[in-house]
Amino acid sequence: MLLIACPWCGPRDETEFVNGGEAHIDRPTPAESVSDADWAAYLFFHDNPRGWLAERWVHAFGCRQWFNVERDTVTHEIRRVWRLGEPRA
Amino acid sequence: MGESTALWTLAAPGLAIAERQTPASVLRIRRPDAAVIRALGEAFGLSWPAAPNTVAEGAVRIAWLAPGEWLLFASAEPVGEPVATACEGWLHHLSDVTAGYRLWRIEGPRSRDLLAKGAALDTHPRVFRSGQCAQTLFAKVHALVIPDRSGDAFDLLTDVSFAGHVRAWFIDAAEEFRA
Repeated sequence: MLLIACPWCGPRDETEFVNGGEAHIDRPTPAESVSDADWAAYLFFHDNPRGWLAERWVHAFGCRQWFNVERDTVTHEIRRVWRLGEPRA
Repeated sequence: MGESTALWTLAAPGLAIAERQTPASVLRIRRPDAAVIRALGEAFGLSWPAAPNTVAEGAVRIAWLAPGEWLLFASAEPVGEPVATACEGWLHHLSDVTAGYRLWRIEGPRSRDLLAKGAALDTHPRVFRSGQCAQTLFAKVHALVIPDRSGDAFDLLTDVSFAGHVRAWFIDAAEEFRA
């Protein structure tokens, strides 16, 4: 069970959160001229590293805010939490 | 806060639970700044709970729900005018959600133990006391938890559609305190 520190609510149990996949993915633009291949890459092809991964989480049963978490996919250690719009590093 | 008649009660050694209807409204303001927070505080005669997971109590009890979102324990009609005046020029809305919620008052020295059976939330008085609130999963249902000044009483707000489930959960969970 993960203990995730919501930037608004502080440390809460994993059951209150929902994972939103990899963070800091750039949506290709302009939408009308993006090729199918680029669009598919944006939608379906994400990093799946063994180790540190920046991902989005939402505090679904709390303040309902989205934020970023850097989590080790092997040990589940969380080393950083930051709000949307804040720089990655 | 006027106490309405309990719709349902449960008593066990060290524990008393009462289910009530409560007037409730949700206020949302788009990116509020310090000025509108101050205006709201003045309109309601209290220090508006701008910090996450805090509660303020004046004539109306107000709980922080999310950035720019609060729950007012009042129906929309009496608070509509002061809110509109304080929020003038701000994109905001106030909706009456009275029909959507049930308030559970949990009292007694075992109230914290009962809460711990249903929620993973840390309710130790060191980190969770009067003046604070928290939204969490309680008995697998979304709930707003507000600790009372007395230290061993809590108010719990859940969706009205789960009232039957929450009642049944309380009956089952309180069983061990009778032993």
